[in-house]
Amino acid sequence: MSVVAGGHAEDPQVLVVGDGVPRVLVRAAGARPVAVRGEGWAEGSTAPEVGMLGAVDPAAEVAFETLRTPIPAGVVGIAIANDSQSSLRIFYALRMLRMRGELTVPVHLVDAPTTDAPATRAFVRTQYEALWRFVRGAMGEVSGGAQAALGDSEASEALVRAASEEALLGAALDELRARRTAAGPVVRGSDALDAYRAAATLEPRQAITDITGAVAMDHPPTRRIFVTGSDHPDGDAYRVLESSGAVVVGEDHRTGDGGWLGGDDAVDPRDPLASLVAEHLERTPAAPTATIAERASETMRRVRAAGADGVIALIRRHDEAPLWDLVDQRRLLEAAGIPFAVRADLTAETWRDAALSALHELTREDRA
Amino acid sequence: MSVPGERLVSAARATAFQKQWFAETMEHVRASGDPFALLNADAPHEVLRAFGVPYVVNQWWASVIAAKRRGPDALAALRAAGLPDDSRQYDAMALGAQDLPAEGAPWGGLPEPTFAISERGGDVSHKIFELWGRRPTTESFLLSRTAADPVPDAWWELVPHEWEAAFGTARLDLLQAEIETLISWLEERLGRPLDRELLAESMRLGNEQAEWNRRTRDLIAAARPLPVAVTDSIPAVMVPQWHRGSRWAVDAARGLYEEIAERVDAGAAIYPGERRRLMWIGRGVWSDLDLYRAFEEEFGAVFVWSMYLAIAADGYPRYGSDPVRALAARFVGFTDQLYVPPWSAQWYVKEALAHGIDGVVHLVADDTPGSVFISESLEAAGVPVLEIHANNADARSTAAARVPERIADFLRQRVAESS
Repeated sequence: MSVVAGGHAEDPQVLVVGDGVPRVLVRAAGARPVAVRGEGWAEGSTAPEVGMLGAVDPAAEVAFETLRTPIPAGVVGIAIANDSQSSLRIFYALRMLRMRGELTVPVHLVDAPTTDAPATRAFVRTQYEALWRFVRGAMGEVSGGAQAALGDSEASEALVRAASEEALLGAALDELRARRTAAGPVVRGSDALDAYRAAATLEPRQAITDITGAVAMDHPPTRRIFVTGSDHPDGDAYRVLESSGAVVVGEDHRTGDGGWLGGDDAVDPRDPLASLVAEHLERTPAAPTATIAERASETMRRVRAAGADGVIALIRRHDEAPLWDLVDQRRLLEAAGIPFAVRADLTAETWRDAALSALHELTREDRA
Repeated sequence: MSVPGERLVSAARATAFQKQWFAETMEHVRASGDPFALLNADAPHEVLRAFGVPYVVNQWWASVIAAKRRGPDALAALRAAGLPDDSRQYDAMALGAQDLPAEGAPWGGLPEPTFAISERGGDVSHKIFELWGRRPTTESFLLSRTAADPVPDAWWELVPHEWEAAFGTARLDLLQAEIETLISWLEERLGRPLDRELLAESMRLGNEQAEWNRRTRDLIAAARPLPVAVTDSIPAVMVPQWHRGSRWAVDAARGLYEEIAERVDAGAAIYPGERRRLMWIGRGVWSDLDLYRAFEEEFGAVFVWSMYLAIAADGYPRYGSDPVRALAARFVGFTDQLYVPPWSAQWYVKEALAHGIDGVVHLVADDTPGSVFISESLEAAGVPVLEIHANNADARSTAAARVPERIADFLRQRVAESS
């Protein structure tokens, strides 16, 4: 087998931005999807305040900088979901860099609207077909081999197999969720986010080992927190919240419980794409695409399911969508008597103190 | 011939028409309870025109609120309602203004719309229009906004006829289907079918209007000295734009062309000492329109170009036998033309070179991607650029950005006199 950029074709990878790139499709096409979410943003970005992306949140800046740096060996392409403005801006900027010859791998957009209608389904289907061609094309650059076409029995079998493996991953994540929300000792939220991270980057079998290996605390948490607002690319924020005995038992964002990981193993072998499209349209409403009512309703549903006794919204600077959801979230949580602390406009410099002060605010409300 | 203080008749007429139209229409709406719509700028207005439902454009109304210095109050109303006052101010300002006391409201205020229609642009537009839909007598309708992919070169040459190649068939199929759904949704609520002949006529008139705007744009690009101020060309173009698809709008666009042609023939100059020709990229600063004339005396600098006439020339024409398909082609990538690289960068460079631009002031808003690529392309073409990051509708933001001072520094330091 030939090699691209010094990488090994045995483990070709597609770097993925956003939550709307169907992992099953990438894996069936022969590559490993590896999520790039802006991990480490909280440690401070070297990116300028307003760079090629314009005004986007710091995690998106870090994700973009990660993708601009020399691409690691084995990476054959970058697939980006149009599921938020920041992801879309990353695509537009990377496409320009690719046009200029400043990006060594091809970049591809997966544009999947969320309104459930026949025309949307047809459009998303064309997007998934294009993603398949993109990954197969990128793989072809590696192997020089023939490309399987969607609809071939070989491709259908690969899709069914990938869906089955993804379903095993989903089952492991379901079990983890149950261990997070159990009465008594629970798995920490920061450990859960690490497990989600593993699920979004590793081969399913390897990720399942990490997920099942998450260990519960040896005592019940002092407080059960639910986190909303921006997503959290890594466990740093949760570790701060959990440093005093509280545990994050759930969240509604896409790098946690709300992400598209796992999935349905009931893929129709005659039309696997239709199954994936249906799965996409049934996904958890996320802040950038959901209505205010949908997001707040989802928050409440998950808060109750997790048995949380307090909710914290941590919202990064320039992450606008969660700001608009607060009005309904606050109303519903107040009606349910669940304390709610909000910290917005967070940067790498301010998030830590903000997270701790939010936790203290909940404690003060308890005493009051 | 010098016309430094002389207002363009077309601009005065357009503004007067709009005031009268607004007063009469809103009075009728209030008295009769007939339907009336609030539309986002990139929604398919022509459908409402063909239905005979009057509409107001969200961003136009925001510009009126800002120009009447009610923007801060409108943003404060959002904050009081538990909503952010520093996110998408231009799109959200009208929503905030709706809860201000009617007394003192610009132009007597806006009645509660029957329909609020928008595309799902960005992360927030759909939430703003969801909130409009919660008002007691308003229903909202949302269309998808797909991304700019593909982006073949020179979109302005493709979009009038070859829009399938420009935007891609799949994107057009989706928006066409959604416009059909919007039509059915309106038919159900209005109790009458859409007259598709009227829609086709509206598209035809819109194209005719764009053709006049193209002639006007080309005339100004070639004219030396500049015969019209952007503060005049903006209302003279944009008021008819919001009446696009009507005979009045075509006549207004033609009148604008003829008036400017007369000025060019007479050698008219808005500033006889013109020495530097400037381009303003970005939305207008409605709360300080004097800004655009503030650099003539000291620097001989005139603002030759704003996007409003240029996009009216290049961005709207769509010729095709199926009016719904053509309408989808008009809006499926409208914003992409202005903001998504490489399309945006290619277009601004083309316009700058055609207009003999010596310097560019680039107002960059939070919601516009790719500004760096626009600025880089212009600089590479030999045109110096000043980037200012501010929100055009939020006076707090433009004040903090020190816009006039920075333009003056830019002119001193980077913009040479025209050769």
